[in-house]
Amino acid sequence: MNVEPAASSARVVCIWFDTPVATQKVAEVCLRFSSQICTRQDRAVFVEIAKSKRLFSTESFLARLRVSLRRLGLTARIALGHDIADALVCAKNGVIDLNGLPLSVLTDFIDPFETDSVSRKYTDRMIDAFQDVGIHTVGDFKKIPLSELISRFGPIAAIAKQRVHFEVSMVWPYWRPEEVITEKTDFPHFAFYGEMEPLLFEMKKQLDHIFQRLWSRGRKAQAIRVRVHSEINSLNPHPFREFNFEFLFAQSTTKGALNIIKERLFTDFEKKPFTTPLETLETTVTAHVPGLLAQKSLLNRNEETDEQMQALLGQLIEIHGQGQIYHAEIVEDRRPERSWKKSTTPQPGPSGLNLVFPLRPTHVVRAERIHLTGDYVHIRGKPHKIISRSGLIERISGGWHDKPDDLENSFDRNYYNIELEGGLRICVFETPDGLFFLQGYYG
Amino acid sequence: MGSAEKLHHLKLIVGAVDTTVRRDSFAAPDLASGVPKGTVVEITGPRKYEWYIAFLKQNPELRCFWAERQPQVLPTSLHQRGVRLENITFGILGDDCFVSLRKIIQSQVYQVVLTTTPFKELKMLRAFQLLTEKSNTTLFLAGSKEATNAWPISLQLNITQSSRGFKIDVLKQKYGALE
Repeated sequence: MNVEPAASSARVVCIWFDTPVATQKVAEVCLRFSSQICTRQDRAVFVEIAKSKRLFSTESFLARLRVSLRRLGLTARIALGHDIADALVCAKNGVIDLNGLPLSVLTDFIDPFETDSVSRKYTDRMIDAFQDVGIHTVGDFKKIPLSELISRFGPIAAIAKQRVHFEVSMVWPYWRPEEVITEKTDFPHFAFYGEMEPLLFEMKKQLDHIFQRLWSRGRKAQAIRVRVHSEINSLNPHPFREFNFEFLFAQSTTKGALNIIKERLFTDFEKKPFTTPLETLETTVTAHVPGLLAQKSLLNRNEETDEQMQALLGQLIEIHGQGQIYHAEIVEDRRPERSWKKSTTPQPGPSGLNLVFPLRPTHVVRAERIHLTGDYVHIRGKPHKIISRSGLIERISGGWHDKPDDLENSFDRNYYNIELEGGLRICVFETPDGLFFLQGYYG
Repeated sequence: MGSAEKLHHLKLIVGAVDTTVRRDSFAAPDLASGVPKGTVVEITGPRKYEWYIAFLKQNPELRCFWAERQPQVLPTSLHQRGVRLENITFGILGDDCFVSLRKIIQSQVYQVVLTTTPFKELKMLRAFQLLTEKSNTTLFLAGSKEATNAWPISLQLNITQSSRGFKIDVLKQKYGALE
């Protein structure tokens, strides 16, 4: 990477790639620096930096840009210029001073986006004519009076003259980031079969790029689709596989998302192994949400911890299923088993609950029929000696609308606590029929 | 009793093990020495959950993962006993929860983890011992009715009710003076 020194009046940065690359991705990553961006096909990205100078110094910008390019695995020449053409010529030729450059660079001054073939043709003719009369560099061209240029070469020479002197501003072509963020890798034939490790290695690279692109837009991934294609033949019944991930918590890091994806792929590959070589891996962000609210605080690590927790919970939910990992939210219902509900986010409990309800058992079981005979309570046919038995603790009525099939006529319940031999304390309720059920126990 | 356990037991008898070595610990109800951080702790007895809830109440800043085989714990009762529910995550992990518990401990998100799944295999407990030590997470095992003989467990408590609160029998204590 060849970085030119910053000019004090520099307005535009050009990132020039010697080989064709996906400039769209680079441009999206640069969105974090400026909203005024454009590209020259697959070779260059231009970023306007004058308006964001209060946010980034030129040195800071260049340092951040180098890191971003390294993360994308790209090398480029970066140059600062007064305008698009100036930055482009400097970056392409790796110089600061234009005067020593050959006249052929005038084509880039006239048509920096390489879109106007007619102008390029006239510019080439003009350059040939100048070279015939001994004018070989931009410095020599600058010395020619404008009146002589127009009379001999017309408006194309006037434009070239104005642009090398930075006298006219250029219009930026319209550019906008891609609607759908997707990364695709094609594997050469017989590169590898359905082994997990190489696939995860490729996926990590894709996710790194995806999350960098999302981050520069201030977004987080809410849903991701992964497609794995393998070679088609009669031995492989499932050559195209698609995995859709709806994250419980929006993901912003590769580590968190990869762990979740890994669990699903591992289970699928174990059940249905790939028997033919893999051809394509494609990862697409199908839904994203704003992520700027989670900006990190300098004073504590709460955001990092929350992010880690969300990634972990997402992974556990992937393993154990929805609803198996949860936080609890207290709701107003006298029945112990209905006095709370599952929640995906941590919920503080209401205040003053002790005043309303008697102390609940620590554990509640599915209501189970028990028998009380004299000094014994029979649970699952096994007798337990009663040490003490409380009076009526609570009477709960209601819940008829729930229509419990397994527990008829249980709308009016009288609750009691019973202490058993061995120190165990249980909570039972009695229905209007005089039947007793085990509700729970105090641990 | 395994050979390592037997050896440790003999060392304890002849005083070759320094039981006064201390680690950073959490304050715990009716347990002056506290609960050492980054260890495996086994709790048994008819009041083990009540004691654990009191422990969470005493350390309100702790993030806790409460892993169960089947959904039985009543979150309302925890709230009634003064535990901050927003710091507790519940998980129904089933019988095969070793991998999940390993991930939870490794993440270092939770300072304390409680599991009701009994672990018989020594190598699993050994793995938990190493993980908890590395991540400074305390793992509470509450699945067994009787205390196990496994040597990776640092603290074993049998908790029953007394007239003034909890009656705690310290069955084994690796760190800190024996009570």
